[in-house]
Amino acid sequence: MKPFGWTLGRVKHVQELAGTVGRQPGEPPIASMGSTGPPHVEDPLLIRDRLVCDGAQVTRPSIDPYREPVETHVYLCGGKIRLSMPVVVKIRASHPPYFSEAVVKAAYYMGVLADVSEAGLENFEKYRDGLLADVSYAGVGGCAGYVSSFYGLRRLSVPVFVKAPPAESYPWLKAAAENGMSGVLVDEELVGDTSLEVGVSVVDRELRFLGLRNEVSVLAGGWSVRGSDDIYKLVALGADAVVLSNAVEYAVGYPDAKARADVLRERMENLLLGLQRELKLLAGAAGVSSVFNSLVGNRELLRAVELDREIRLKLGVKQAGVG
Amino acid sequence: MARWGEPVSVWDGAKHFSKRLLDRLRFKAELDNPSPPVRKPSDIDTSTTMAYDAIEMASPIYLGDMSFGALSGVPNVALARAADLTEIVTGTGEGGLHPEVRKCKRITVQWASARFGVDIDVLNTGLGIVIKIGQGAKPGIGGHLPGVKVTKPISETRRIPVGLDAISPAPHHDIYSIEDLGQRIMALKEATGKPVFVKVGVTNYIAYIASGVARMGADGIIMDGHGAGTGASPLVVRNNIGLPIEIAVPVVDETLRREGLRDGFTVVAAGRVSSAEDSAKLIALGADVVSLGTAPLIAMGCVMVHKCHLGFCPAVITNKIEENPVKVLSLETATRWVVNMVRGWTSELKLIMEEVGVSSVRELRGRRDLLKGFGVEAEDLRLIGVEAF
Repeated sequence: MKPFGWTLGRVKHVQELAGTVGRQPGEPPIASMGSTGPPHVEDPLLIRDRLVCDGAQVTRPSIDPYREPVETHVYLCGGKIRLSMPVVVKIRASHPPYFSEAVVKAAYYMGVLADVSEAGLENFEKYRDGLLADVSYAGVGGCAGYVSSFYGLRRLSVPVFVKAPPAESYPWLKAAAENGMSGVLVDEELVGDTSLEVGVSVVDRELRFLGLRNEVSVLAGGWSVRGSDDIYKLVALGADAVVLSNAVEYAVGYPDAKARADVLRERMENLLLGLQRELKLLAGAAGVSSVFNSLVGNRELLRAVELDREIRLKLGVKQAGVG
Repeated sequence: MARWGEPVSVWDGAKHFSKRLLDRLRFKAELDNPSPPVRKPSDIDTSTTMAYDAIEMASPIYLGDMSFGALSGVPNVALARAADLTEIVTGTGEGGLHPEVRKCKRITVQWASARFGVDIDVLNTGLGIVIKIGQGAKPGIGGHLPGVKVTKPISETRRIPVGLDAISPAPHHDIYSIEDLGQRIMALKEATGKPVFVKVGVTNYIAYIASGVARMGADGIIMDGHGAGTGASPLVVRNNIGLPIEIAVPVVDETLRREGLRDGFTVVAAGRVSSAEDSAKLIALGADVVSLGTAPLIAMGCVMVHKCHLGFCPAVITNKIEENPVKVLSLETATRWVVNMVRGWTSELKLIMEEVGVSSVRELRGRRDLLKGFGVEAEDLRLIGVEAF
């Protein structure tokens, strides 16, 4: 039983990127003939299936990611954390050590964050610079956790992220930021009252409204992030980086007791490399040369195809066909 | 249709419950008469013109640009010959001209970002020139011919090494703006005196793009919508970039009219045009001509295995070109099938036009009042100017 939003094709796609199946690990899979994806052929399962990305045509040039640089790195918390691509990998408490260590190691070497706030820090001391750990481990690379009282956050020496479910409004943002919160992590797995897309967009817009967006980073994601297109769309809706959880498990073939730790690590590295290349393709097609400078929160690069008006207004995305 | 060259149905009822917006728009005439008999069409004029009346066509059909390399040679020739026989126009794609295609009259040649096989002789061949900026399956990404399909004949036509991926640059490095485009259009017109079309993928700012293209002196725009076919494209790009053509056509038509640029300028609608009813609807929404890409391939026997990029097409349409091929498509049969398809398509179009009560393509163009939307949001219908059911 797969969580909602995932299809067999999606699983195969991330597995091809990781090299778990197929022969070209780390390469964006090539396809031919017309689109087979949502919203017109497959059912649009999630809101972002109705969002389409922009492609630069004559009015401005697109960028050729095969030959020209497209920068995918993003900075969090005013430059304190630099990610090589807008990706955070989530480790669950239920993951066995052979799996989680391989994934954390790959994430560390590929320059993305690993969120171990649920799994605990015990096994990963070596990679502490690239981790988001629970607040009780204060003093490592970054913290993420459920914070009931914001008082005292400022005393922690590292960036602190507050985990929150997707919601229609976040009235506590101002108080939290004043107390030293450096980021919000919108985690879909904490069941909220709305969808991930709306949650991300609302956080981004409220922070902008408060004038705090430059100081406070936004991470978002969960089980329904299925690949680089979802990452691109969530980043364009306002996330600085997107959390992958189930995508990682599917891609590397978890649980695969036979795969040794170094095989899992290699698959994980391939997956991240492939996602980065796909992001470059999408960003280059839209004429974006730097994800952090031009894509984060840039809803103008998205259009909604036959999306409910109410949701569309919450997202702040224009209707398809409107210039 | 491909077999007999005769109309099969008037209304394509099977598609009316699909997820696509165009399928949920229906002609009012269909509500009055849901199953009219399929008979011999009466005297309806399907002829039309392109590019300020410079190109005359017997039917508003443009066969899409598919390159020599993406298709395996015989289909390219079949498309070009079929266009000659039925007096429509076919595009040729960016991979240079097959010598047999070059002999045909009713072709346009493509001037794409890699300039494969382009010289002044090629530009002077055919009815017009297409500047390819983007295509519906991958707006913003250049053409892509996988290495397995770059065999010796292709390497000689395109002058590239055997076995290496031929990836065209994403932008034209001499076209970074509408002004640059204007200069290239003028240069091509000066060199050849032929009409120049600009092919773009449908993206967010399509109305501005079309208006800029028209203002810069092009004779037409070929708009390729989301879901259009390709020989090879990164999957993530194909499935996520671009808007559907049925939204772009009315928006562009409206913008061009408002700016006084519509008369004589040709709007070609492409991308998932899969039946005569689709083409009638797109013309009613404001297009002049529709472009068919996958449809003629299906007429030639395509079974849609979606593996064009691997070079082992079971219908020998997009397989790699070898010097001693095991199987080839029969040129005569392929040509006959495409000719039949175009004739059957035209007959169906005539039957539809008879049902909705118009007598020529010119009368049908922009008649959004003939359509009704079923299960489409009011906001979307307002945008495309169609009333709700």
